[in-house]
Amino acid sequence: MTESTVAIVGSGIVGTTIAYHLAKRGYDVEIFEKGPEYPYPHGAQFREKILYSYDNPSYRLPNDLQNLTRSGDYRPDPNQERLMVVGGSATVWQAITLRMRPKDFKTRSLYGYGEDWPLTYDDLEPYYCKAEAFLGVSGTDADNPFAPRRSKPYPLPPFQLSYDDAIFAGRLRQHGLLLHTTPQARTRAAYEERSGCMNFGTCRVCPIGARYSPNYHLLQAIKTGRCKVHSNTSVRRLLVDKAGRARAVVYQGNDEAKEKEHSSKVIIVAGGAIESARLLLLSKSERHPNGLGNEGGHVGKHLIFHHLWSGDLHYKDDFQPGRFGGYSGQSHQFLDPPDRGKHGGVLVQFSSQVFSNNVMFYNQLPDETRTGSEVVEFLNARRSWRTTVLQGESLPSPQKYVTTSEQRDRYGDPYAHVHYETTAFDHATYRFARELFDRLAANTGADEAKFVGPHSFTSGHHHMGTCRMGQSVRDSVVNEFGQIHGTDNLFVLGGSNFVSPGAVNPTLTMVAVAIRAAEYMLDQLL
Amino acid sequence: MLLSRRRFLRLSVVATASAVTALVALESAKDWLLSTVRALYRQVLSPTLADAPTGRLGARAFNALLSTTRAVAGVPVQMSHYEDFFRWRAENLRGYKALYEQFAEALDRRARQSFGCDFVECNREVQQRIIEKVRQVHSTDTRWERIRASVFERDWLLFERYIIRDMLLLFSRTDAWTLLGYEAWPGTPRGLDQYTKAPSERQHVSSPR
Repeated sequence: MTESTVAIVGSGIVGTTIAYHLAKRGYDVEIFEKGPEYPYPHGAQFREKILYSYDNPSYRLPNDLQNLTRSGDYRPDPNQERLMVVGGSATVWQAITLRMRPKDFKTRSLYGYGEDWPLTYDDLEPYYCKAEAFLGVSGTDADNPFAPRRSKPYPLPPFQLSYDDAIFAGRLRQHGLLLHTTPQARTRAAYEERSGCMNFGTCRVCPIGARYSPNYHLLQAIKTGRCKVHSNTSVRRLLVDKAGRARAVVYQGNDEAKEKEHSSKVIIVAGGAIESARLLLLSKSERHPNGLGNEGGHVGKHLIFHHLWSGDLHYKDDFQPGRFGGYSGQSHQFLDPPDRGKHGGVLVQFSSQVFSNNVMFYNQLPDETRTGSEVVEFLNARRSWRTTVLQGESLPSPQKYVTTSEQRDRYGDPYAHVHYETTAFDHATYRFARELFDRLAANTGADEAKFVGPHSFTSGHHHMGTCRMGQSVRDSVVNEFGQIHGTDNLFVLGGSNFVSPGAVNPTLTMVAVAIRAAEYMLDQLL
Repeated sequence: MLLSRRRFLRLSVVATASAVTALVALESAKDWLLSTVRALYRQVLSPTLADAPTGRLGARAFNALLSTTRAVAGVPVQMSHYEDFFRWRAENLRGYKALYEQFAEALDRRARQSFGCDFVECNREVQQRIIEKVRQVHSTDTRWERIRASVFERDWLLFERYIIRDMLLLFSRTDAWTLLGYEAWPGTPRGLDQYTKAPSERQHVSSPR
């Protein structure tokens, strides 16, 4: 048996944030990551993917290690929304870093839906500042009257609106709609050891590390000599002692025949909302017959996805979209709309990035295009269309959950099963988003507009809930620090902790909560 | 010979049990059989690259690929990134070097048979006519034609999928942007100044000639 002071399951943005903070303070940390190594800076991946159009299969886990089963009416495969590599999904994220609004933490008290978080915006605000400094966020509130209070300025200046978004912003302003710059974890200028953004435009595989990747801090943690990463290693269950304290993780190298134990003073589960819940459910024992932390029956429950609906708008203007790789214009005006409660808030993303992303990452070239001229004609027609994404708030429901599947992985352990059914609240939010889209079309001068149906949404890869935080075992799995109720040394952290997400991207909040939890561990436990 | 009642009943029971067993077995094998047939069908229609060694690309294959690029694009392109692309694939991904060499051979064979020249020495119009073969093979409409092509024109299907398609995708990410009037294409450091300004009048081309 091996041992360390801290064991972390999952090397994604939350796991690496905690590992960095604890290793820098002198504690030895071992991280267990199911996926393979993922080099940083991501220059090698840039060359393969962008220059040579090669999807390297060595960065994907086989189906018998990474899979799930599903039911309900969510059409995309949630399994494809997870990247299991060292650094996790945030090695390829869009890096939009928004703060939740103060009212997002109190939807039960203020609007009568969902549940209140056990912490407030004011509790989290200092940690939002720390998270922004940690990730190197570029932004400003000067153009955003809807921004929540902040005690420190953004660490970096904002990326200006693109030429086309500036035109749209002008047209929308005349109709009382406000478009502003997007806070994002891209370096507007050189920051710490990261160089400034050079606008390669292939942000999902930024070759120079301007777009934040968790592996930046992971490498620094490893350099301390106190952080070790076990890649290609699956954690199969957690063990507790007779007193109910977590004592070890049971792990197995993906190509090894035998499982091993690793004991730790503190164990942190940060495997994403789906896998974290699955691991707790797999960690059954005599003392915990329904899985660890599941005394109240909440593990896997309260799953939440954001609902991202997209619409296409056609213009006669020649905007030349796609000249900027990051995110340009957004509207936060409808995050907290007047009828909130009857439906959810909506984030409007009015960015020109989609055109280049479609070309670079989705190979959107019809089979009929056979010559250079035909390709140019196709792209020329396509660039007159702008894709607008409306990101809707959603809520937990008894019909949204993660449990264990009948099917099993390489080791014989059940996969996760994801069930997701949209609710009346989700449909009301869709109708609100649809109305907003029509206003955007009419007020920006679009001469044609197409919007998807209510079920044609994606989660934005935002998987939340399943191990939510709360006051007690009666309503939740963990407390406000991610500590499982009734234990002092077992934590679950990440999107899984979310009680409700508002309509903003969750990652900044995940990192803020993780830094707060790391400080709590340093003060109270280590 | 007449069967006794008992023997008749016994045979009936055995026959019924056998039929039920056969039906159950068939039912459980049906999914497996269907998926196997479907996989085979997909494999026939979408041939995959052979597992062959990587290596440095010879001049004949390399030049054929570059000539093909110019012929397929049909518009002026910068050749350096295509050169880099083909070399990298041949040297790093199994199967590509062999495919590129087969492609060059096939082009030369067809060029000599029909036009009496090696492919790279034919004029652009002839090269385009030869490459048109790839287009014809891929553009078959009916299922039967697709099956026929996948059996008798298998190499050309591979050429279409792993060479011409790659070429066009690379073109769509690079030279097509220049032809559309962009100062630079994604994947190059474009700076943080130009994107906030109006498109350049100088370079603007609404559609190619």
